[in-house]
Amino acid sequence: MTTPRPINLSSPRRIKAPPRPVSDVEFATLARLADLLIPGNADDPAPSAADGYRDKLTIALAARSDAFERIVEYVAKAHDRADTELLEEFRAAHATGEASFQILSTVLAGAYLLLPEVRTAIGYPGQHRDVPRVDEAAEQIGDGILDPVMARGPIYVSVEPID
Amino acid sequence: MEAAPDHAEVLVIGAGPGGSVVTHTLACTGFDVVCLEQGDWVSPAEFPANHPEWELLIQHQWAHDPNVRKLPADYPLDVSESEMWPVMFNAVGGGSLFYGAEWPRLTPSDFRVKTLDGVCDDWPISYEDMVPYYDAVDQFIGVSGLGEDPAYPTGLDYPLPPHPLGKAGRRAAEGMNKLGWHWWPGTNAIASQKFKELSQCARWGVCEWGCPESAKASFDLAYWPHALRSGATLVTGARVRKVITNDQGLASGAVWVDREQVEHRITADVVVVAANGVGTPRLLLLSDSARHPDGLANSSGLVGKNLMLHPNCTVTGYYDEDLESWRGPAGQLIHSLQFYETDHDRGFVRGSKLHALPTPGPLNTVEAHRQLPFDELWGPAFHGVARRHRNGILWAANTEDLPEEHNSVTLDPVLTDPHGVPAPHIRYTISENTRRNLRFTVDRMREIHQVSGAKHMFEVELWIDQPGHLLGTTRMGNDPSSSVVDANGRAHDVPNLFVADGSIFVTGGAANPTCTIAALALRVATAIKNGARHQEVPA
Repeated sequence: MTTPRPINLSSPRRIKAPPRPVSDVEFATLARLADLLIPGNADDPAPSAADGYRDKLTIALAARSDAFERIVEYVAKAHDRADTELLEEFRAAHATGEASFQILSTVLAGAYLLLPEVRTAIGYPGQHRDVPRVDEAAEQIGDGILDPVMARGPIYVSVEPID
Repeated sequence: MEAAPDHAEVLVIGAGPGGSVVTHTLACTGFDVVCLEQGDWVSPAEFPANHPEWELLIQHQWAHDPNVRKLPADYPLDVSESEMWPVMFNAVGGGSLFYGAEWPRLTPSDFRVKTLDGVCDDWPISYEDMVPYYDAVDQFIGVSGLGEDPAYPTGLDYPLPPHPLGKAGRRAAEGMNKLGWHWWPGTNAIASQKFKELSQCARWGVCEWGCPESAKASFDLAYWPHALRSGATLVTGARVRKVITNDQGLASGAVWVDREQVEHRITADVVVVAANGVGTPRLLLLSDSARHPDGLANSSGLVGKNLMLHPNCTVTGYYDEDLESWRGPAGQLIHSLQFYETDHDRGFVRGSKLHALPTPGPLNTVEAHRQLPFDELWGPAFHGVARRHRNGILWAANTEDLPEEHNSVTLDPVLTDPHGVPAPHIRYTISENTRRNLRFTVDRMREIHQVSGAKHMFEVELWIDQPGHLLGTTRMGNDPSSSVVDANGRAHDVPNLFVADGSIFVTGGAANPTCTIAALALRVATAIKNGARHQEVPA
């Protein structure tokens, strides 16, 4: 038996899965909604055509597990509706900043942007260690770019000392 | 669990920037210092940027807003009567875990607003009074920057060299040169070289959501290891309910609740409150007694009044060129004080501080484009928008909001924290002076982007949910009828009670305030030390 890890008061526990798995039917609807928002082209796959989209969607839903119920409710309502009708609803919701559309679209897009092939296509290396060369700052600051600023001289407002 | 101490020579409440500097300074001098912190330590390995889905994690689980995040260390804020929603982080190191570590000092004029502009009040201290404390903190934590910024008096220098500007910073600087406006390589409390406990910056670009590299001088790293080695005691998970007073009206300690909901009492010779501009007035108002019926140190009626929040505005520009905008620090690549000082031709007093940052993350880029019509963001347009994440520059600004008594922190009559303690109620309206300042500043940032060649611009004239600069609610001054603490942070009403955080600002300036909060805390600690030597406090 292991001792449970004490709760850290200032750090959320990493949530690795949504409150429950999405069903195959729910995933099919989510992928269809994602395709409406992010259609594929010659260089970029549609979400439903990307092998790993279901896994990435699971990660995204876990990261926003606070909104899981709202998203699956949206999915249930969308299940039987035509794409054209959904697109019109998306347009209206986008125009008004409707909260359910915002959370749905950020999760669908967030999952898509986790796909390695998408990251490669858009040139996103992810946040990572990237230590500068030792002379990098000196090169970028010491080539005269600051000369006009220094030539203008002080810009602060002088004040008299307190009596 | 080790028993918490029941007495301290100096009790510090809050382990953020102010509390950590006071604790370290006095522990080094030989005082028996105990610090009570309601939060916990946060490991850099836990920060969201350790995970690919970091852009989703920062929307809720690691949000800046405690009303969204709702971690056990957080307490709720009633913002129903506020035009902005103050944010904070409750942990060892406090808000510095999430700050951008931009490290500008206030300017000489900031201390003389009444004299120069005829509004508000002058500080009881000057820029020159602060210089030794600014310098000492800079040296201690390893600030990176280039000396002799012409926006400040001569002699300003930093212990570590500045960071590279990067392509985004260079492009921003070139635009400023075309306009003939002041800019300077960003001054950041981010180590450009390894320094004490800090690693060398590895440009993760996520400074405002916790540095995975431990290169940012958050105060859990920059001060607490040194404070603990100096003999200080830090108790985490300790939420203070009340500062208690004795028959003479002096502060005599505090009542606090541990993580198991057990109530404790600690006595102290000196009490220092360092819970910043919302937490400090909340605690003083909670600490009422027969002798202090309107709250502790509140004979002026100004505890909780004059809240200042530095309303933020931004214009994000996207360019055709690859600016490698995923790369940090963020942190400020460059800053500008071109519009910092009053120019009456602009139609308002005081000004703003501008800073250019990268725009890391493709999902963040998508979110920045939500202002566009549907078909310019979603559908076939999506892929082009996502590719712009490499091409962005964020120009952002703190605007100086002036102290107004109706902008306030009070105790909410209904809302409580999980311990049943009244939550803060925030009232804040944006003045006409500030609105003009915001509009003017946004227009200048658009101008910079235009001359720099931006192809798409997105402005936010007011970030409602970003004010982490919580200032002015126990202001300092020489007159006990118009201030809460004196020039050394000592409460006028309670000679062994001190405040060491952003609450004691008289006016807010437009500079990111942690630099000044830390320097003021050092000054307060020095006054306590010197006061004890001269037996002016019962230590």
